[in-house]
Amino acid sequence: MPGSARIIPIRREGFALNGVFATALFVFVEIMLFAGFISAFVIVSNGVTPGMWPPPNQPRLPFERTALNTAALLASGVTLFLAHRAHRRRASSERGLLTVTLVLGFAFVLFQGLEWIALLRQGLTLTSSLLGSFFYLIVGAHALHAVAALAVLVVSWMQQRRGRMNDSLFGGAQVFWYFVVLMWPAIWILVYRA
Amino acid sequence: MLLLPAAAHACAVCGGFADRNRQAFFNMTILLSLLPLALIIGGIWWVRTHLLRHETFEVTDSTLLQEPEPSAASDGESGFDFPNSNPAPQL
Repeated sequence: MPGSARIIPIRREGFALNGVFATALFVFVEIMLFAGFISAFVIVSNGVTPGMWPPPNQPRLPFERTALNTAALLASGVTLFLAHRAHRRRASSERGLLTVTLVLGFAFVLFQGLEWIALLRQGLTLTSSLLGSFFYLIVGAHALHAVAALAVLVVSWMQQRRGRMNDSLFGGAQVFWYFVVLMWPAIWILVYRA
Repeated sequence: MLLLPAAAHACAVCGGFADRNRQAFFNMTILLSLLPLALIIGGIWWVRTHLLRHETFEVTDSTLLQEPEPSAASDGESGFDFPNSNPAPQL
């Protein structure tokens, strides 16, 4: 039609980075996995004879001592968020914040491992009781995710050092680490205090 | 059994021996039902927000879309556009 303007949509760019979208899909699945684990734990722990949970011959889970680990993990989430903001502004503090995130993350995994060794020595094993089975299943699954997320963060950190950081990889690493950080308080409160 | 259905306590939720157990079943059922819905709705909202933010359009100049006037050399008998006689408007 002569004299009329047309609006032509040009080729759309991706609405999100590939790494971010793919990791988000993966995280959705893992959230349901942990929801299933925690649901089974809550139902079983509420179904035993009153007074028999936690099992009397098993060590008590160190709820208060794990508060320090929890604080370290939450702090690593904050520093990673600050590192993301520094990355967007091309600030020099990005590398330092990413390093602090990795240090806190590795500290969390290390101290959780030491905690496990102490509990194993006290008699809480995978087959010793329902509490042991659920504890090592749930906390072990979380530790596995934490180690995998740390591995991806290390790759991002190495790329950043070389000045060739891949935004898609860094975005995916962030999504994965935020999932690990935010899942832990739920596990700590529901499993350690049960 | 058909006349007295309440006598069958096979369901772990309805026939659980403890209120705590029944309540735990109920709570976890609610959690596992609502959590995937919340994730799906949140995901759709996130995708939609990012789609709207990244969508761009281009408005063409309306003068470029006007039909070219017929040239004086063309008598309109053949109806053909000979090469270079009436070049199409460049968009």
